[in-house]
Amino acid sequence: MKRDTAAPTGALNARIPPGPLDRKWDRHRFDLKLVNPANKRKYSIIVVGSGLAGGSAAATLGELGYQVKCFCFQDSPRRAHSIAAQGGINAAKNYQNDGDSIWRLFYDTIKGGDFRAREANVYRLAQVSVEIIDQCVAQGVPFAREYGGLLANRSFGGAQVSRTFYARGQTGQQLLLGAYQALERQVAAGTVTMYPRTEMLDLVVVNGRARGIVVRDLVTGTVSSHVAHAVVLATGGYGNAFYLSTNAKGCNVTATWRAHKRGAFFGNPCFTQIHPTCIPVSGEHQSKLTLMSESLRNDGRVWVPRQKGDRRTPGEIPEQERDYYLERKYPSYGNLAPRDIASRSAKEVCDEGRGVGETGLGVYLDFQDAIRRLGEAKIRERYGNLFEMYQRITDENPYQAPMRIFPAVHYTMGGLWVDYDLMSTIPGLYVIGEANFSDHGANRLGASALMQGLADGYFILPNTIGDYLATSGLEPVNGDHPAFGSVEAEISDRVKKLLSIRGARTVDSFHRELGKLLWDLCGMARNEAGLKQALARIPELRNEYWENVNVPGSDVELNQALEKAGRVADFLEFAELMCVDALHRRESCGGHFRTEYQTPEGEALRDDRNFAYVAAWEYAGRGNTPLLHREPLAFENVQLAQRSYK
Amino acid sequence: MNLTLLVWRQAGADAPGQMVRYAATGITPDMSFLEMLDVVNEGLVGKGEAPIAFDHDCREGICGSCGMMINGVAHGPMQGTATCQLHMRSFKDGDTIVIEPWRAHAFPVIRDLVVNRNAFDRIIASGGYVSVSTGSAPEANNLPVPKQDADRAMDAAQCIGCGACVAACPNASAMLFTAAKVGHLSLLPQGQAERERRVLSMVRQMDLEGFGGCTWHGECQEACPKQISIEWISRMHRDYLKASIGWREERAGASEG
Amino acid sequence: MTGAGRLARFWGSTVGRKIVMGATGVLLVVFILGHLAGNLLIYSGAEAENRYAALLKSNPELLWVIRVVLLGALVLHVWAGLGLARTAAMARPVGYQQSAPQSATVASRTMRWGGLFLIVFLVIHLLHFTTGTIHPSFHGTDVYANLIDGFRVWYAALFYLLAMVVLGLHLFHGTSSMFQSLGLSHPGYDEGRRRTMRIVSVLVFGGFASIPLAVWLGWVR
Ligand SMILES: Cc1cc2nc3c(=O)[nH]c(=O)nc-3n(C[C@H](O)[C@H](O)[C@H](O)COP(=O)(O)OP(=O)(O)OC[C@H]3O[C@@H](n4cnc5c(N)ncnc54)[C@H](O)[C@@H]3O)c2cc1C
Ligand code: HEM
Ligand code: HEM
Ligand code: SF4
Ligand code: F3S
Ligand code: FES
Repeated sequence: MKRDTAAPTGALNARIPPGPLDRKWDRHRFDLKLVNPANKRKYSIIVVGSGLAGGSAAATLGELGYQVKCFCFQDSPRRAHSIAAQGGINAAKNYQNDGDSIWRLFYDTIKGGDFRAREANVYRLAQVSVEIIDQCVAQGVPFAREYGGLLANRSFGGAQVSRTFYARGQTGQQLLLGAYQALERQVAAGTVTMYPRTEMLDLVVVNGRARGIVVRDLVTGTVSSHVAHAVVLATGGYGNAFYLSTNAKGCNVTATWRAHKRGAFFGNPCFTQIHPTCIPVSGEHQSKLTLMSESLRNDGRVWVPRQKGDRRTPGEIPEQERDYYLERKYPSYGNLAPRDIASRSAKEVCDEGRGVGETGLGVYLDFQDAIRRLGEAKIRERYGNLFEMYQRITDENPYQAPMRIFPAVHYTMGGLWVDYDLMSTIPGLYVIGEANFSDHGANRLGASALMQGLADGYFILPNTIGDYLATSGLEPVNGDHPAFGSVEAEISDRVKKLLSIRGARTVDSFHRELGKLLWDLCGMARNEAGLKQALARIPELRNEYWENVNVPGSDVELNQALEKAGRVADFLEFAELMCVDALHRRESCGGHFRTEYQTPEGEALRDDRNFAYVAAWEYAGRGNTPLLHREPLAFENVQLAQRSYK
Repeated sequence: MNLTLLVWRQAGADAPGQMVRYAATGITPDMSFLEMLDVVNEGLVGKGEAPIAFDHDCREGICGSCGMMINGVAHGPMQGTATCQLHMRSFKDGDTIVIEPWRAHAFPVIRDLVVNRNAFDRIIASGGYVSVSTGSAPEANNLPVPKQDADRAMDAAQCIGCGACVAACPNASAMLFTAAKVGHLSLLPQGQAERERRVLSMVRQMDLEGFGGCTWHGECQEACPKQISIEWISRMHRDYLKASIGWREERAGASEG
Repeated sequence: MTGAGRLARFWGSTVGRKIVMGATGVLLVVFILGHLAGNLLIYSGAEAENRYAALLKSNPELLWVIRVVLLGALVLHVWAGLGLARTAAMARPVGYQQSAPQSATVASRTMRWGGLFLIVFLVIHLLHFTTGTIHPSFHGTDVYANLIDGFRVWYAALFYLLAMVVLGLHLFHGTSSMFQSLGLSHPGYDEGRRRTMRIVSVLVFGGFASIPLAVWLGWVR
């Protein structure tokens, strides 16, 4: 079938299949053209990223018989940032018989996303979720079990049913190791070639189609090209634009940003998620923030003192002088209110001067009741490793004193825009996992990212990509095509430029400044004045960067300063788009809270008439304001409602 | 607090290396060990010198990227803790800290404290998986797994692949890493079909990579950030013995193992 | 795969070799315990000791079977040990400037040299008491007399004491190791087993060491 995703009207066509919601995916899979098994071997696919999305995709494509090249910047695919996911993964198994269903998971996700996600994608996600658990269990993922030997579940933020599967506090690790083992199995089988310590620095488009990438070998510094019939980006989120986040240090926007500059539209860049339960910042030198899994909110109660500046130790504050503000404001969901709401409430109480800890930027997460109710042993069994981690970092014992927590940047709902087939606006460029904008709207529910990453990688992309390969009659292209040469040259020049500046400031100092700026002006709460201020400041900072950054060493060696420099350079460009998007969206929804637009009770106030669309930005060249394309969101199956967790 | 660092500096894989002395000043106890190195590196960059290269990513003790010998102990003095989760409160003002890369024939140094650990990936590729292609899985609850088995499997599955076991072992043996994966899968019903074949080929690959054997020093379990027990190594010996007698091997259809 | 191929693979692997060390270790330990028991008879007088010695010799066929088995075990044990030692040496070409062992013991780190020393001891020991070649005044089957005269020579006694220290150390680590190598390990009883085995090895040391000491100091004559 022919593809004109970017229609001239500027309205995007998501190519959602016709038919009733619950039949779309089935129908579509039937309509997709197949690649003859004997021919699969003739097609090569580049997968950038080895996290849950990339790892599962590369493994599955290999199993199908394609020639796969998989890239990651870590020394091993097993270290992708997915490894850090703690809490769990959702699936509509309804093992607990507590009224869960595919439809409920679909509805919760749409509602949790504050009605800014695509119905068809989310429904498909909920359908596939069931197969994910089967697949992972078959791989030997040691999920938590009941004494009867069957799988255990727990409840998670934003849901009233127990549908979250988990492996202690290391769910992401176990799921990723499952995908990684499947990947290594294909490496051994020769269908997948793995390129660790290799960073994608640009996308190569030939005749309007994605045909390869340019990479830098992080050990030798060599810049080279890789050609393929299709390119899949699974490069994760851009939370590190804020410098301090719960993301791994290496997480970056480079791959998706470069693809954007080559023509891929960027969807909802301002939709970032601030996670409510992280360990508060302790000092200037801090290099990252540590998440305390949301699952803690199952048994922990969030509170602050009733009166301002109460400096007593938590133990000295009697019950009636404590404000369990989540339970007070959201009686039905209480401490399990969705992330954006929990985070914002924490910010409010701290702004009121009721925050705890030296900095006053923290709230208590208290387990005393749970310990009294279930006993310390039970709590230890449930959260032992999280409590240890907390104690290791803060030197405080959460079994005795309540934890201190504060919100931190955690996840980015925005990402490259993709259609129903997960293909971007560049034909042949697919984007999966956190790197795409797809399923979480304006706010992601806990335990849904792992689900989406694996849904994309195991079950969706491997089906949809075949159709493209089978139908688009790709001409043979090889590495000496001029397109590759010129991109390689651009990259090498850029690297040389960074190394030649030898200015006075380190890369980190710029990154810290950018992060602070975004956190203050484009973080948990945004407003027009602040965003305009940011938009004025970012270009200045960027210019100073290119004149005054100091990147030591050369480009023919392992040079970590240079790696960082390239990533920060891209953050400095991307940050602007983020603020442009935040400024243009004159409503509050999910993680995007514009102080000008709120209900009298201070809840996010959506404007469905004017903003029920996906904002997909097209790169318009250096210095030009990006072009906005809208993908209208039609809600045919759920009622658009003021989100309420009361 | 102020500290003196003695750090192994090596410009490249084939370049000669030596220990270099640095002063780490203005360090606070709440810094992580890697944040302390960040501070030192900021200083070096300021002086136009090459920062100390070390692997790190999650800084949460889960990705397994980080790892260095700190005063002769893999991952440093804190038990069950990866380098990135080690905090400076474990040291005191005036201390001298000796920092070296993992040392093993199978872990060649790439630069400074960065080593190549891909041998681990090849060990997994040789059989550290259940051969189940996407889509072919049965309903998850069709095969119950006794809770205690699932829990023990999880104990072993926690391995983060950091390589501290190899670094700490006087024989540079990768037994703990290999045994942890063999053990994890051997405890679950899903892992049974390939059980013999798996242990045979993983041990074979482990040997091909040039790791040493185990003589029960127990250093690996002391160093392991996930405190994986050497009992898993013994368990692997048992599995290996059974597999070598090997009546099931043919049935599982393995050739060379 | 053929039985031979399987055997080759087994012997070629670090794990296989270690299992062999464990198995042969067990045999050697059993012998040592028996041998100790026999020699302790020295304290119940000449005829007891000699009766035991005579008993050993009473059935030459059996004796030779045992000898061959033990020798075979020892050869395999040493062979495997040397093999593992070589792989270990190659596995870390560049050592650490500073290393601070957390759990490795003197015993665990002297297995190889200690083992080699035990070979030397064995040769001397056989020439000493079995063939009598280097015995000052060998009385053939009067083992009791052999022992007395043998250990009256102070440096002989001293050498034995030294050898027993080495043996003690070797067993201190070895006796608990061998079970783990054979895969007989379980969190339930590991700790207990380790403790018992350490006590046993101390007793073996004490038992053996007491003999040259007692003779030398003239307690038994
Ligand atoms: C601390 C933490 C806890 C979380 N807990 C949960 C949870 O409990 N439940 C849940 O559902 N979600 C959770 N999430 C979110 C979830 O983990 C992530 O959204 C998800 O794992 C992203 O997976 P991914 O495969 O898309 O990307 P990643 O896992 O981030 O993988 C990115 C891959 O791309 C590679 N890459 C990136 N850039 C480049 C480049 N330029 N060149 C080459 N390779 C590149 C990297 O090497 C890596 O392999 C958590 C996130 C964090 C930070
Ligand atoms: C103080 C300690 C020891 C004493 C007093 C001692 C004594 C003796 C004596 C008297 C004999 C000769 C027995 C006979 O010919 O009938 C003998 C034989 C032997 N001993 Fe020992 N022994 C000691 C320790 C050891 C040790 C530690 C080993 C092994 C490591 C050992 C191995 C042997 C062997 C292999 C023989 C030959 C048995 C045979 O005839 O085949 N002995 N010992
Ligand atoms: C003569 C009596 C001997 C006895 C009773 C004995 C006993 C043992 C035992 C029980 C073990 C433990 C096996 C294991 O860990 O699986 C062992 C290990 C070992 N032995 Fe011996 N041994 C003897 C002689 C020797 C000799 C002559 C050597 C010469 C090289 C030797 C070298 C070793 C080595 C290298 C190990 C392995 C190290 C280790 O496992 O920590 N042993 N021995
Ligand atoms: S076993 Fe422990 S030390 Fe070895 S790699 Fe795994 S986690 Fe690291
Ligand atoms: S330290 Fe080495 S010797 Fe064995 S017990 Fe651990 S592998
Ligand atoms: S940096 Fe990930 S484990 Fe230390």
